[in-house]
Amino acid sequence: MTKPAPHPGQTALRPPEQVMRLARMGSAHPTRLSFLRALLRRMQTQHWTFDRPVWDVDKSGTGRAVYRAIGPTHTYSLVAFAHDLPDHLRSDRVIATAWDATFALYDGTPTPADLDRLQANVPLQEAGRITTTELTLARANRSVRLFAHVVDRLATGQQPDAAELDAAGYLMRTTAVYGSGKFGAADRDRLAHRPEFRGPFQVEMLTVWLIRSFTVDLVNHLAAARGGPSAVPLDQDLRRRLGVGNSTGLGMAPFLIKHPTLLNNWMMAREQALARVRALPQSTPATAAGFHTALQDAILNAATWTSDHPIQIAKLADLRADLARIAAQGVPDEPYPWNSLWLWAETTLTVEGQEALLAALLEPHGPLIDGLTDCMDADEARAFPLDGAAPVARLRTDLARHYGWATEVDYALPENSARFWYVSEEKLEPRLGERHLEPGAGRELPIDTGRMAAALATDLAAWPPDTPLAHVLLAHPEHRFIARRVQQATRYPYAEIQDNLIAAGTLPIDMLRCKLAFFGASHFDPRSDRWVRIALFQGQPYPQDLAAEAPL
Amino acid sequence: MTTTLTLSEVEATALKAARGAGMTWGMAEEAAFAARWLADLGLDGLTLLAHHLTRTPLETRPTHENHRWRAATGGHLCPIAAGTALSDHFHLPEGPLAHPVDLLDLTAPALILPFLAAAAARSGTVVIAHWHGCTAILTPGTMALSGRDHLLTNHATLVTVTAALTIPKAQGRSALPPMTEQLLQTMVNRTYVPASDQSRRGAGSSGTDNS
Repeated sequence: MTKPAPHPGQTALRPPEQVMRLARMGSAHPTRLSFLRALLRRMQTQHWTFDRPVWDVDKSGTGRAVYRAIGPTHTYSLVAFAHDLPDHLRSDRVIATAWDATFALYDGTPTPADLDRLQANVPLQEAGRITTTELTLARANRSVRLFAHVVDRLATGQQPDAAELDAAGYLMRTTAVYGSGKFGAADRDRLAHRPEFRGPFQVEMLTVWLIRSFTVDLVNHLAAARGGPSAVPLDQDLRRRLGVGNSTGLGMAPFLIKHPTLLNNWMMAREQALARVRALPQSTPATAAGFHTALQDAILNAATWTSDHPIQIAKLADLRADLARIAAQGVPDEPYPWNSLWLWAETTLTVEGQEALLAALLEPHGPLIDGLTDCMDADEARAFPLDGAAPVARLRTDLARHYGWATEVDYALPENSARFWYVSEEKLEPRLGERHLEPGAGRELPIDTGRMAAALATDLAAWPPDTPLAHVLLAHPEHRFIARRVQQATRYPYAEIQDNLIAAGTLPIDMLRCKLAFFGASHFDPRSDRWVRIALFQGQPYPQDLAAEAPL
Repeated sequence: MTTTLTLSEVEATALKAARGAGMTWGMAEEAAFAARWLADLGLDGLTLLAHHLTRTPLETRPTHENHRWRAATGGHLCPIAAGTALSDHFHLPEGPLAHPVDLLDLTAPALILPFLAAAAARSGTVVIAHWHGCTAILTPGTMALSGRDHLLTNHATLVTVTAALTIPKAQGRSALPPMTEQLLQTMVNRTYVPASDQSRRGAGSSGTDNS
């Protein structure tokens, strides 16, 4: 009897200690599992229809509009308010009080009375109040130079310059998209039973996608108002190159710490998808061609992806060189070709190139992996309770298995606890402080997961191994936060970022990029080590294109 | 003016306020969970929590002896600390499943109910909490209440918590000791009548049925 050769049919998931490092998370690329892709696929499959029942915008670009997305059971309406904002008031910071446009996603079709109520509140954003019939609250500012260029050209009957469009990537960028019960909006619990909102951030993605249509309609409207009969609308192909920009700062980083089971499920789905592709015994002509197309798209994307930030410039150089290497390598002509390619990449490419390859490998394998998007939400309430009966010995084992990265660090060294995360009193936004130079560390946010795990390990040493955790926590309530996470780590192995988040060299943009890649963001462009601009939906269809589009 | 908060806002406010009042982050998360759980039932747990958090000092460490739990340094027992302690000790000898538990001098007793409800749901048990004028019965997924007027009181001198296992269905079988069977058979036999020749003749075919 011959022993069957071990084959990648049993391909294991990449281990958390490889995947959950900041350097790798900060090299993440959007994939077909990203939330905006999942949204578009669902709406295409279910034959959603779209219309614009209200367009009441004057020549100056002030007024309101409604965009509807009509699904099999529910209708959702983006209510948009366009403002004529003086340049000196335009700010992307969360501290701004006025914007070029403000939005709410309404659950159903709003009546004129609803629109009047929203008009009294939505333009005020945080200072207003919305209700449970609203699902999101958002605002956007113009990409001033490109917006003006496009309107100028269209008004005189010309199309805008394609290079200018690519350089900016969007006509407007959102500076906040609030959902999940913020400022009075419907709680996520209320929507969780609707299939279209089972995945993460689906209402937010729908909001941004409809905002994209609004931005194009607005330039066409302003060009027509100015140019009269000589004006032309924006060309279909040029239009497609535009996404919606987003300006994001530190506020997004604590989210990944605050929602460990959610982070786990995103990561787990992606890693499961990679493992499934690697386990395929052969490629087909269709998947090989699909991979080739995805790779060419990635090469084009990398070519138009620019940044002035030194870190990102270096990463882009790595990415471009690695994509060229992958293209030269091609699909191996041997059994388990995708696994061979992957193993080659792990020993040859930079982390940037490896993660880009992951995205390209997933692209032609929709039927094999798309169902995994159904596993990317999380029942956080279920994961919340602690097991107080668990003995200290088990906690020690779990710490050793999942927090070795944390307990080996000497936090007494200044560089290992150089920073602290806090919420600023004046702006109520998350910030990073220098622990040894600034006051305020007493009000630190619980982002120092590594240091907390190390402190727990130290205190556990004093307890007999069969002591139940309940007894320890009675004496040490300060360990409750991290004890919960340690217990969760056994069930959710990808829940914790395995890096010291208060170290001097930590790059918060790595956390932002990971989250934004799951959103589906392209053209990640850091403006410092703690804030970033990106574009969403660039190259994707518009609502009116969806039905005629090839399966997404 | 009264503000209507969403559940997310209740949770976020409770988390920050509890932390600001001096709770550890892990305990503040529990306070947020409790406030949201009550708000989901239309009960104003946030106001209860606010009253509790303004007490100084905010003693969060309970101690226990002979199934009686009290604040370690005297004074009032914190409902978040008490609720989490009962939840953590639920299956342990100190917990309410092994023996009814008394909580002494507890502030805002309704704030322990979310923890008891979660423990009931996790373990398939029924938990009963009682204080002056109010009894709450928590089963997996439901809460029954008597004495609603006393539910949101800011203080209870004594709260008793009892937990009981629910009995699972026995898959359609019931074990029977031989003694019971004999005993019952004697009585069952009294429902039968001895057969007569007459009755045998009319009861069916007298030949074979192989036709």
